[in-house]
Amino acid sequence: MTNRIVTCRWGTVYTDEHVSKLYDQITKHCTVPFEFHVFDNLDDPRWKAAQRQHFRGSDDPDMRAQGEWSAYERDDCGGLTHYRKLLMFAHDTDAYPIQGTSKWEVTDWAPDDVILYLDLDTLITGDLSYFFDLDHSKPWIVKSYWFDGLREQGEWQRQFHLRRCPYFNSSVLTWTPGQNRPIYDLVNENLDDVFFTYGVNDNFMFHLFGPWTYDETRREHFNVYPEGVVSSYLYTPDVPGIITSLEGMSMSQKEEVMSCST
Amino acid sequence: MQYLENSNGLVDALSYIDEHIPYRKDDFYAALKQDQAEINRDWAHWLPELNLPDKYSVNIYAGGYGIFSVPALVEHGAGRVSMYDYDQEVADVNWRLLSAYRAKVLLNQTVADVVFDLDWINTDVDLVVNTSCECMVNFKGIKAKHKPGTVFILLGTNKAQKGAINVPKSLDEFVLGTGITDIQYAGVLPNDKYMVIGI
Repeated sequence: MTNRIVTCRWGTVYTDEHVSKLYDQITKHCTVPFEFHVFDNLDDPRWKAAQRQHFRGSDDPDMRAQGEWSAYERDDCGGLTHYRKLLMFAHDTDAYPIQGTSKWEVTDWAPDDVILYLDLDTLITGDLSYFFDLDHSKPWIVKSYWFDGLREQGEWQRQFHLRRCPYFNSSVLTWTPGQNRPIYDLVNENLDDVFFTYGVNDNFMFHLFGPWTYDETRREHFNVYPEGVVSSYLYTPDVPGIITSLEGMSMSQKEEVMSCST
Repeated sequence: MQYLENSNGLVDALSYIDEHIPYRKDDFYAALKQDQAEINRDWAHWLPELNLPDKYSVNIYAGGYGIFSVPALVEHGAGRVSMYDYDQEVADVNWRLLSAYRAKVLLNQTVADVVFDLDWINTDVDLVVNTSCECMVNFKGIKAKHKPGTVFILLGTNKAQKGAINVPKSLDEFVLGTGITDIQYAGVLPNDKYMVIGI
């Protein structure tokens, strides 16, 4: 059994420097042995084509903040932002092509390995060993507890039918190889429907793998980390989580916070 | 048209919302408004024209609260009404709201996504009603899973609004997306909704 800490990078927004900064934070805060892996420019031409075909917005489809397009918002624009994260759920057990080369990256990870995924804009302030000591019979995801204080009670229930207000935040994930394969498979087998319907990957997972999902094999797919394990820099700055999410902040704000932390 | 002839259901539903899910009051009240009654009246008055069998079976997709739709279908001879909506709390409210109608028709509710759970939905029905086509992919693929001869009453808005992910630019585009070819009616309703009825 190996502890694996992984991240994903694509496009030009995040650079080698961001990867190095994340790695530095990990080595500083992880008290158990681990192996670090970067899914660099992971992509699938069919998925990319589906995003291009169904995205109805006007800006970069991978930007969560989206310029208004008519009365639409990012949630309504289709195109499944950050879909590349979901590709990890297949390539934690399968090899994948290294972009721009004829080589393949082999991920011959053992079934009992534990994978901790961290967004590149993650701020680590506590011991990451916590995540490897969890019960790994189910995958884990962040629940945005801070919405409870921010918004009226019942906000996610009220907005559920609009396919927005996600309670899931995929900035920190924990799973074992193959455990999230059903998520990959659902997208892969329903590319047009998924990319047409969902603008945000976290909404997609909350709807189709969350508490109200009809299919019992998908319902409650994830455990959610207890409150305070992952906090929000923007919304719960006084909560000292093991990890602080920079969700909702602009890139320049994130850069400022991350530069102060290193 | 008799709406909610047993007002106990409405009282029960309001009481349940007040006690358990008060944050749903606004959208429940919105569903009670006159414009919603008119939308349902606009499609329901076609029911006698559709040559449906006695005690016909009907699926309502993404119908939300069945305040007007279920009474209209019961009034016009439906024998089995199955409601599919992925909003769990809507189902909880409908259970109370429509209690009087459960004695008159076989009334089923399933919390399911019409697009992604379609394989689990009983599509062997005489009629399908979907008044929220703007909230899902083009209906053509869903229609294809139903038996030949099923009659469809489909409505979709032509207004961009939150949650509307499929807003056609014209009636023709809307009709094309539904896959209906044998058209009994197609038009734009006074409330700016597109409607097509046919096979």
